[in-house]
Amino acid sequence: MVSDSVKEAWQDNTKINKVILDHLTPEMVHARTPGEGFTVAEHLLEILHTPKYFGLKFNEEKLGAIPNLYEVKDNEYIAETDLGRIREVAQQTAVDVLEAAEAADSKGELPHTNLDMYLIHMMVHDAHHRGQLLLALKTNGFPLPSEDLVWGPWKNQ
Amino acid sequence: MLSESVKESWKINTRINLNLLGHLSSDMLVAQSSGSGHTVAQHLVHMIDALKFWGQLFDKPRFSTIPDLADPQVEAIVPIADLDLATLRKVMEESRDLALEAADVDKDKGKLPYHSIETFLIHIIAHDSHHRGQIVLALKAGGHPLPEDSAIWSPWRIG
Repeated sequence: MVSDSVKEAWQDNTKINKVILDHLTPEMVHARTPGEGFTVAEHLLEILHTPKYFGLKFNEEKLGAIPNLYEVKDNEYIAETDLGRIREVAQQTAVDVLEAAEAADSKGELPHTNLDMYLIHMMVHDAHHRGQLLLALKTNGFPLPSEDLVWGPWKNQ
Repeated sequence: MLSESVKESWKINTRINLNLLGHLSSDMLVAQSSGSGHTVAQHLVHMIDALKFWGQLFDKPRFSTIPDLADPQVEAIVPIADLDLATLRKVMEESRDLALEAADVDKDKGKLPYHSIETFLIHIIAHDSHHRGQIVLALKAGGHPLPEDSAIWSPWRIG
């Protein structure tokens, strides 16, 4: 069960992730955060995989069906860089996670107080990585999406 | 009237901001994100200013009491000359407490361009997180130690 406010915020947050994904070009996904940090593709993997990781703790059947955006090679996680694939999985993740949370009778094994707080935590996690992803673009000389597009969805824009 | 979930999330977010501030030393305030980004001090001042700016749209009497830590007439964020960590910690904590109090009693979202006061608070929580992510990178770029992951992420989990 999810409150109306958290559902609205989740939908706003989904729009912002889409703004970022629509802005990206194949060259940008390899841009790396300064200080040997994540690449843009690795930030996207964090954003998209973490809701699934926690989501398995309350609906393994539905959320386990979301495709993984990584492969493991020599014990290392290699993030997907195909933007078409990333966008598809992003859309599925946003919809399925919200549907699963709305339909859930209990929080299952989630380490959060309730499903609302799981979703808020995931939005906070997204925002942290979006902030770093934008710096990865900036420091590598790529253009940024406009501030209005990145923040507007929170304000009914 | 706020839901318990949003109220608890707000308190967790405040605790994380204070954990981050507790990690900082004065010399870290001038660390700057790569690409001529904001300094740590500018990020923190902006986080406080954003809450004040939007909060005034639904409860001007309360939110206007939050001190300006940068010149409000200048578009660029220019922190006040004597800004120190103690002031940042005090204003961060007091402004967050004041916002929770206002959001809990105010029933009308006034001129806020959000669905509700609750979504406004969730936006501010996300906005803080965006800037905390960039603060961590500024610290890293400046060769400073980073806060423990547990200080930034564990408060979201029970136990």
